[in-house]
Amino acid sequence: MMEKNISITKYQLFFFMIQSQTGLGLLSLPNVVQKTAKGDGWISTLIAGVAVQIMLVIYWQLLKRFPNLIYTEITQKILGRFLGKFLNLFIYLNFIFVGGLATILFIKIINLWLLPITPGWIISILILTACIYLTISDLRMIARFFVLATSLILLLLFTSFLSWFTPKEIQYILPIGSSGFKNILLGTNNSLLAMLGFEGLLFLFPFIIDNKKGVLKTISMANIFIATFYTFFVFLTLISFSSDQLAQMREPILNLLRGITYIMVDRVDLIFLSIWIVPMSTSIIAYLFLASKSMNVDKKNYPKVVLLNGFIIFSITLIPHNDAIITLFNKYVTYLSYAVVFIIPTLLLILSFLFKKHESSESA
Amino acid sequence: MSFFKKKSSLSSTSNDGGQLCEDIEKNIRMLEEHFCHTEDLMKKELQFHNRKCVIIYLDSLVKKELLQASIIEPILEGKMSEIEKTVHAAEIKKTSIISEAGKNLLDRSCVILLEKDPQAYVASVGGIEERAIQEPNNERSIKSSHDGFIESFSSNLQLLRKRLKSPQLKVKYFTIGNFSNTKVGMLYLENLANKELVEEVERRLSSIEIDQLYSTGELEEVIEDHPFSPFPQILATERPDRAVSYITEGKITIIVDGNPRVLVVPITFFAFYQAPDDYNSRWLVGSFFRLIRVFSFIIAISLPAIYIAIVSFHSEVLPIGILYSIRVSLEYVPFPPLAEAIAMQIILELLKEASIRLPSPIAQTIGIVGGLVIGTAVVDAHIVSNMMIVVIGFTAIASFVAPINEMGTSARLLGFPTMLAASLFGFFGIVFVLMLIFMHLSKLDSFGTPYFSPLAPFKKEDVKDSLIRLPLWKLNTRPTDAKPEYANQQGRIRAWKKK
Amino acid sequence: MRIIFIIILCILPILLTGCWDQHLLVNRTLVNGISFDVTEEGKINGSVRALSIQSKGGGQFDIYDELVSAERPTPVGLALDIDSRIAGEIDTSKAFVVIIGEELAKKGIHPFIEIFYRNMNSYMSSKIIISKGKATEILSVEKEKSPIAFVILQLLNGTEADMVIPKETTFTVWKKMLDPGEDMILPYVERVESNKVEVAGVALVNDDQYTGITLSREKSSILMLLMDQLSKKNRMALTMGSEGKGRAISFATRDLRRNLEVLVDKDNKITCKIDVKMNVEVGSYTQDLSKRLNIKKLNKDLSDELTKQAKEITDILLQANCDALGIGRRISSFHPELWKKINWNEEYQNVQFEPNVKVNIIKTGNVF
Repeated sequence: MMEKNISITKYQLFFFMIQSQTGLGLLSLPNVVQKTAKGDGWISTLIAGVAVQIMLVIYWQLLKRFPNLIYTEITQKILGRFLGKFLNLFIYLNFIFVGGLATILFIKIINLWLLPITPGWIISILILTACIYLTISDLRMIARFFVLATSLILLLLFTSFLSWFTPKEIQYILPIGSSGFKNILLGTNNSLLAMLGFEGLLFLFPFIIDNKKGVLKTISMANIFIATFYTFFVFLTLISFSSDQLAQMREPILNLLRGITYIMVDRVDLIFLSIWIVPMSTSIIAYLFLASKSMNVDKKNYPKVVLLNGFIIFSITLIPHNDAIITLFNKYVTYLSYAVVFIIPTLLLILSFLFKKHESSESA
Repeated sequence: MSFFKKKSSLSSTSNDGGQLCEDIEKNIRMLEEHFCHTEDLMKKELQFHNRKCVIIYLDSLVKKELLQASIIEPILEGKMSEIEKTVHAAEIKKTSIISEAGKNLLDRSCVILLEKDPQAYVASVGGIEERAIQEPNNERSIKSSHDGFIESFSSNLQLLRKRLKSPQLKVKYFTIGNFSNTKVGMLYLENLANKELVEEVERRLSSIEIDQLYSTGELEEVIEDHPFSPFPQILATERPDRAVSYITEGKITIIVDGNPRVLVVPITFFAFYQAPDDYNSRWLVGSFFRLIRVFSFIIAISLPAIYIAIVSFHSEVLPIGILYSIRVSLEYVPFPPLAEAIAMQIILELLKEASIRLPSPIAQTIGIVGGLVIGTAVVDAHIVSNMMIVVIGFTAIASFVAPINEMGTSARLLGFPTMLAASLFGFFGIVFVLMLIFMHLSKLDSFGTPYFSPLAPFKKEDVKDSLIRLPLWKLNTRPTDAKPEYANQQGRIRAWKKK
Repeated sequence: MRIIFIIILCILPILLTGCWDQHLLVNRTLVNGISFDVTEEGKINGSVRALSIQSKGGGQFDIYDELVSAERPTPVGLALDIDSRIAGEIDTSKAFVVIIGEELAKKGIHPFIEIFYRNMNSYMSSKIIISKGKATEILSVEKEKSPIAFVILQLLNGTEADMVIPKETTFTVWKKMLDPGEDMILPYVERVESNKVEVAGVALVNDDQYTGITLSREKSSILMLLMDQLSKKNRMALTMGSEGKGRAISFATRDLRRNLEVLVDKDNKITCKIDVKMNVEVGSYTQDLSKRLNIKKLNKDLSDELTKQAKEITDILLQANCDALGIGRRISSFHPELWKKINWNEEYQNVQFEPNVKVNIIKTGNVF
């Protein structure tokens, strides 16, 4: 049985998923998507939402068979101790690297927009201190904070409505479908990366206290929310900027807000980015949490593991921040993520069907 | 450490468990020894039906007239044969243990010893001067009742019982402190308060090992969950109406004898921003003021920091009009904004501290000297900019808004790290510190209740009477943060509307 | 105890190393206007107007502007030169106006806009204007009195509200410069009476180059109508009939409906139909006092006059090769095959404009 104090409600699961998915990806998403899909980028994000939904169903099938085990325990159960542990190493590395990458991108954005000269390691220490401080406590408290932080996403929605006062041109996305199916799919590929974070379900499932029947509905709602949210923003930027201009920008969403002026405040982008620090941190917290959970340690050693992982992520952020290295790092992490998030769970599901394995069955 | 332990155990065990015997002289001697031959221990020898009878009392603790009228005179008259019936006292206890008798002597009673009787009769003849019940100074209200707790345990209990005339209101006594023997009582509604909560509070109260306990503040520090947190996790109030409203939510109040402040556990963050007046105003007004107060918390923590961040990092967020006037007011100010802000904050704290201790006519002078003279002179001398004075003044006012003083002070204190972070990292620093504070708030627990509830964890049904106040007829269920045994608190409250 | 020690060890270096990015407002010199010109030797002359504060004593300050300029072969690095000539750190985050000289604008304004959008600190809502003659002359107007931002900015805001010039900021200029399907028009200002600045109309820009053709204030208001831009109030004065004996009328547009249709026939000939319907309120009209106002006739006269003028304006647009109405983008979104085939810059010349304005008077003020 799971202890009472690390369980979360379905409701909190919803917010956990949202918080771990939104964050860094969003700011540069329109640029990334339009590289291939041009004006049809918003279709790409919608398709990405569908793809994530399919994955969620696969996860659901897998987790129904092992309701009390987390991802890294399921691998061992199905593949045996040795092979399972070998896979778990990759799973762990994935979360650490994705967490590291997220932190690097975070630092880059802060360095670009808010603090140009402040050395990256200082920002890294600050972010990770905050992240470790929360991750070290139990899941229940993380979930509480995530629910609290979601109010900031509503704030973003509000800010985006303000941006309707800048000139918009719906014709930029016309004619629909002009970029061709292949390019739209390539755009989907890019936007899937921004949607990563839903794999957290594989680790959270055993800790849900309510009736597990409605979980699929909850996570689908979360996915629909995220997909709509992303599509909305991609759409908004696509109609605000011409594609040549969009290709030049690193963070289109921030540029969108840069043009807004009010009698009380200028530079809404800076204020927005300052607030957006919180959702960006929650993504890192989620990865730090998942990395620590994937090591299958008992409760006593958990704080030590979190500290260790935090330190590893800090070391990753010390690598030089030039565009070429980050792109390379990004590429390899992407491959690893595809394996861990999409391929392994699917394989596990197929294997568990083939060998008719359930939680109760003896491990081979 | 060990030295202390030895000492304290000595004091509590001396002469313990000594039994009274039939020899009255020996009994007196034993009692005198128990009190270390203190000179205010008075003995009066009388004759009662030809038996020697000694009345012992502590001179300082009893009312002489009462002693004369209800004890001495009846004994001298000797109408009845038994001493218990003779003495005019509300209750007469019998004991044969020295320490027990000693305890009662300390509790404003007198002890009557009879020849050839191994029992001591204890009768209460106490009378200590008490302050009259008046409105608490630091929790004033406009529209609510104007009585407040005082230093006497029984009066405080009376104030609560007066409002809750229910047999379910239960009191449990504890005696804490080996020297002070302070009487501490916990009050709750038996059928409403959560059993686990009651057990937990009992466990914490009964496990305290301390020699002296004088104030609620000390007790608070002893039983709270997170002693390093800057936030108060137990609410101390001087208002009986406030305490009663928490009791009816299933919470537990703790009264410490000799203290006008009563503790309430468990408590949430938002309780510190509620005032009894909210319920006596129209609900829209009440909700508005609650939101204003919570807003004041954010202001008190972050306003000076935001100002510092703007003038030293991100001046571009200001539109040109304000920017120019700030730029002009900063000209010739030689200090960095952080130094300005901290200096002003400290001046403000000094003024506040100075005016608290002084008698009120002088305190007013301090206010004038501080507010007018220092305020304008400092600006004229180009030491602090005009805008900074505005910011600090606004912050101070915001921090004084909190109905419970401790929270306002905490908020002001948290302003310092925020200012420091702002001067190092601008907006990023502010968000970093605020994020840490809110993480901390979501991690805090007060007696098993999430401290930042109902926002973290979010409870829809509790928002109606915490962040805002909905009309009374909407509040059908009581707040669930103390996990009361049942939630329903009213039926169809506006039943007259339906015929 | 040890943990606290470690924490202090971690915090101390952060505090000791100081604040990298701190640049105090008190050390910054706020620039509120920038101008670019080309000199006779072909160098770029950049000038800024910066805020300068002087104490009058007793906590009172005087603020006025000082003008600093520098020259370089390219716009890059001008900021460095100017910074070294100005007290304190130069801060362009509140540069409200960027004035570009006529001659320089003909060579292309892109390099001067790029400086602003690449830099995170600069202001994206500053007004970009083209000046008649040297831009420095506009910038140096009344420099002892008040910051230029308040002079020119209010002037521009006023004319924007009157719908004489479009609301163009760095942000929108950046977008239109890079958009092949649309060209922009920029405010055109000149210095009059030695010490006053006047909005003379709009300058037509092709891609990022000023074409040398301008529209007068009256004409630019009509262009605004064709571009479907209406702010709260839009006043316009018009003389109908031939000059001299014509009737003058001023009116305010209350409601504007524009329908722009781009038709492509089989021979890929592009026709652009612009239908404008507007409800107006008569401001002043010196009518023949003996007769009642014939609204129907007036409607027709006004419509004819405006249609005629609109046609003139579209001809000027073609002449200047300035696609201010965004015809190109329409073609790219509705006729993508055609768009890929043609070179829009040349093809634009062949577009046939058919403007049609219909006026409907809804209010005549206090009198009939």
